Amino acid sequence: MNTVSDNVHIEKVLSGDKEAFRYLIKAYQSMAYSIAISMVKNEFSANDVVQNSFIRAYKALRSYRSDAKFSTWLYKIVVNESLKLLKKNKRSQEFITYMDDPFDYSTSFNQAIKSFELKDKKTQINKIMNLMKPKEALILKLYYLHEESIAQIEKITGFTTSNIKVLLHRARKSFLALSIKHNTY
Amino acid sequence: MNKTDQNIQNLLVESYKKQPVDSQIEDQIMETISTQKNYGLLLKKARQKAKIGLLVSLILLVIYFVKIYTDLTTPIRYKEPELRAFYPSIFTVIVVCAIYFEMIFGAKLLKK
Repeated sequence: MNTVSDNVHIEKVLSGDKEAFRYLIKAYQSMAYSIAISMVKNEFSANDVVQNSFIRAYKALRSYRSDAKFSTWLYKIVVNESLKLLKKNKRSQEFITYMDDPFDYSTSFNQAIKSFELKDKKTQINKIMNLMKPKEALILKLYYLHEESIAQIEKITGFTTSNIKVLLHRARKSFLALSIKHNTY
Repeated sequence: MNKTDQNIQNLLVESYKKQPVDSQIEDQIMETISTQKNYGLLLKKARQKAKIGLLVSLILLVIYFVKIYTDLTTPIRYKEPELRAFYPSIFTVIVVCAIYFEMIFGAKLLKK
């Protein structure tokens, strides 16, 4: 559920206090950006997505129902905006997936992770996430980084439960394989 | 979560401890919002005005209907042929009242 502060600020915005919306931006822009960047793979586009999403959220705030989490509602807008941008741009970049690879990378990954400490993790992980398919990267982040349940991911993305499970399986495999194959730790 | 899942999670959490966000975004969003009209609020006010307008109209119609009915029945209580001449107008008033009731109590837009 929403925090009391969320509800208070939403009510304020609805009654005409535009400045109260700043609180919601501050509270959720980081996560919104995280979702956007995992899909559009470009920081400028991700910033555009975040900006458009908040403006859309502001315009549609009256249609938001307080029985749902504000964050879930907002992230759904971010996902839709990201998908819209991806569709519009039709990126020429090819993404890598290991869905047909039968090899189990878990053991190699768990051994290699010890050496991860010595390198610039953030750069390496960004590289891996950029190589992953947008939907796979999104599901991976939502599940592992933001610790969202499958049910919550379903609400945020609009994908079916079975689709999410398949994407999560593929994303996990791609992440492990890319960590081993496309990085020099 | 097994060991691999835990490692993936740790790696992601450590790598994205602090997501870099463009500091200007907040101001840009607020600037866009400040130039926009709050259509939601305007709509709410318009709904309230419409509701009051409908209620006033309904009250006036009821008064009008009662007045016509009482004015007619007394003098022509024993003159049914003349009364029949007013049936269409009475029927119309009832229909209009019914429509107004429907608009007030049935229309979802006016419920909020």
